[in-house]
Formats: sequence, C-alpha cells, structure tokens
Amino acid sequence: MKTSRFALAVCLLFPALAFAHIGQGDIGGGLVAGFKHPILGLDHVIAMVAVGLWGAQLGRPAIWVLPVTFPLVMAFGGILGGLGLPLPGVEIAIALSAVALGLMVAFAARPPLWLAGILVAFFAIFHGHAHGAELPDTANAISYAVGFVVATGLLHALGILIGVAQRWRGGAYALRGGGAVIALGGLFFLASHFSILPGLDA
Amino acid sequence: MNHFNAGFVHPLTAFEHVLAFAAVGLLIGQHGLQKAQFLILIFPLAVALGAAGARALPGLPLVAATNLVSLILFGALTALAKPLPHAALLAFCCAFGLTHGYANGSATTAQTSMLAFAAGLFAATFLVVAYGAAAAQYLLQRKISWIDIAVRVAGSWIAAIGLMALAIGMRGGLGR
Repeated sequence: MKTSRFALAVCLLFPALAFAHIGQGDIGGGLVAGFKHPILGLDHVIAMVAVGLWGAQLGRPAIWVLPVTFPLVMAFGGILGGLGLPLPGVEIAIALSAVALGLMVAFAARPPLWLAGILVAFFAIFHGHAHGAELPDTANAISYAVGFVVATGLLHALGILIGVAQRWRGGAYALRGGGAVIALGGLFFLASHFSILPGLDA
Repeated sequence: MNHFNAGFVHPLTAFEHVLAFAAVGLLIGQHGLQKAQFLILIFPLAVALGAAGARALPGLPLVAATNLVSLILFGALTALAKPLPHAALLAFCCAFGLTHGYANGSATTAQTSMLAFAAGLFAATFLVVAYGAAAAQYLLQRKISWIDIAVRVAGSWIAAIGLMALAIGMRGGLGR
C-alpha cells in the first residue's frame, strides 16, 4: 500500500516522463546549467554581491531600484548574447565591473540614483551577454533562464543581506573593507585577462 | 479522471505557465483582493476556454512566443507596482489566459476528454492564482518595509526570465 502511494506521488511529481513536455518542461535540460553559470564564475559572483552591498549602503530607494532593474537589463544583454551579436571586451568589462562596483562600496560612494542605476545597468549588459552567449545549445530556453535569473538574484540578495551590517558602525567599516577586497579581486581578473600575471587563465 | 489529472498537472510542469499564473496572482494581490478578486475566477476560466479553443482551431502560430510575452508583461507590471484600471487588468487576463490555455490544450489528443482536461486545467490555474494573490495580499498587509520590494523583485525576475527565454527561443526556434 505504502509503495503504491509512493509510486503515485512520484508519478504526480514527475508527469513529464509521460507527457508531451519533452523539450518544453524538462527541468533537467537547462535549469541546473543556468543556475550554475552565474555562480561558477567568481568574477560574476563578486560583482553581483557588490551590487547588493552597494544597494544596502545607498538605502532606499536604491535598494529596490538596483535589484529590480538589474535582472531586466541583464536579460537585455542576454538577448544580445543569445542572438550572437558580438560585444567587444565582455570579459574585461566584467572584471572592470567588479573593480568599479567594489570601489563604490569601498568609498561608500553616494552618487545620484540615476547615475548609480546607469553604472549598474551598463555592467549588467555585459554580464547578461556572457551568460547568453555561453548558453549550451541543448539547453531548454526557459529552464535555463529561470536558473540564471534566480541564481543572479540570490547573489544580489546575499549582498543585501550582508549589507544589513551597515546598521552598525563597525559593520559599515567591514562592508567598505569587503568592497576593497572585491575591487582587488576585479583587478586580479583584469590582470589575468591581459596576461600580466603569468600562468593564470581566469 | 485521468484526463482531469492530465489537465491539472500539465501547466504545473512548465515554467512558462506556472510563472505567468504566479505573476497574475501577485498582480491581483498588489491591487487588493477587495477590488481585483473577480480576476481569480476570470483568468482560470479564460485558460479553460483557451484549451477548448485549441481543439476547435488547431495550429495557431506564435502561441508559445505570446505566452513568453505575457511573462514579460505580467512580471513588469508587478515590478512597476502601479495601480491599473480594471478594464486593462481584465483585458490582459482574458487575452493571455486564452493563449496559455491554448498551449495546454494543444498537447491533448483526440482521445482526451476536453471537458475533464479543461476542468483540471481550471483547477490548477485557479489554485496557483488564488494562492499567489492571497500570499501577496497577506504579506503586503503585514507592513514590513521590505515586503513590497520583495514582491516587485519577484515580478522583475519573472519579466527577466520571459525576456531571456524569448530571446533564446528566437535563436533556436520556439518550441524547443
């Protein structure tokens, strides 16, 4: 009895096995690839966390403008990448974005909101382009998009969550220190793209 | 009964349908159940009708693309969080409810009982929309400072997913 119930539950949970959803709802065909893509590139990760940290430093309304705008602009970049339109210097721009955003956090910079938005959106296009261009051909489009947007969003959320430390004076300094570390990391990736550091292929 | 189950489970196994239903729910919750409650019934009804329409008028083009466009629209409206006139909400829900239903109905065969399939489809859509709306309404009423932002961020994620999937799909041919 128990086994048959379990079997029923499995059938209800995985109807894709029996239905006309091959290549349409197959969750394995891209979800994991899309989710892993923004997380496995450390240059992406530090830049995304920096977006969250900066948003937390800026407070309202930036804290919602940045994470709401970023996925949309990134998706736009993803379209360019997905359609195969070339964008020069993508990897360099991504490393530069970590440097720039890290510096903003390190100096707790407070530019006008529109300027912060444009800066973040500019880099978001490059991040999206890289994800879109590196889409595996076998991947299911919507599963890949779900994985990739959710992973990016969770990285922002991580930055915002760490940014709660902003409320305490010591925490605020720690955040700025974190921004400096991110900027240094970006410099490292930048240098490795220009092969200034021997033996490094980021 | 099997055909009811098929209709119930079919939209729930595809992100493009579940995410659109969830976005409609969030949108209704943002507008407040008092005012927008009628859509919780209208939208699933449109979906069920759309499924029947797939039987009557098979082979319409660009349905999958239209459904992704609906993700962008419903997600973006949730992200904007601006109150809309009810006529606009009603029009969007009817139009895109029909196309989502159509896509699900296209997956049936001549042996499928359309009545049972559409009933299952209605039930699944209703549950997702109703729970989405109730959750959004409940959370927004808590007056926690970051909740309204979280709902809007969820909308922007859904819109971004639609945008991205549409682009990838255009490259590789939709229906992949």
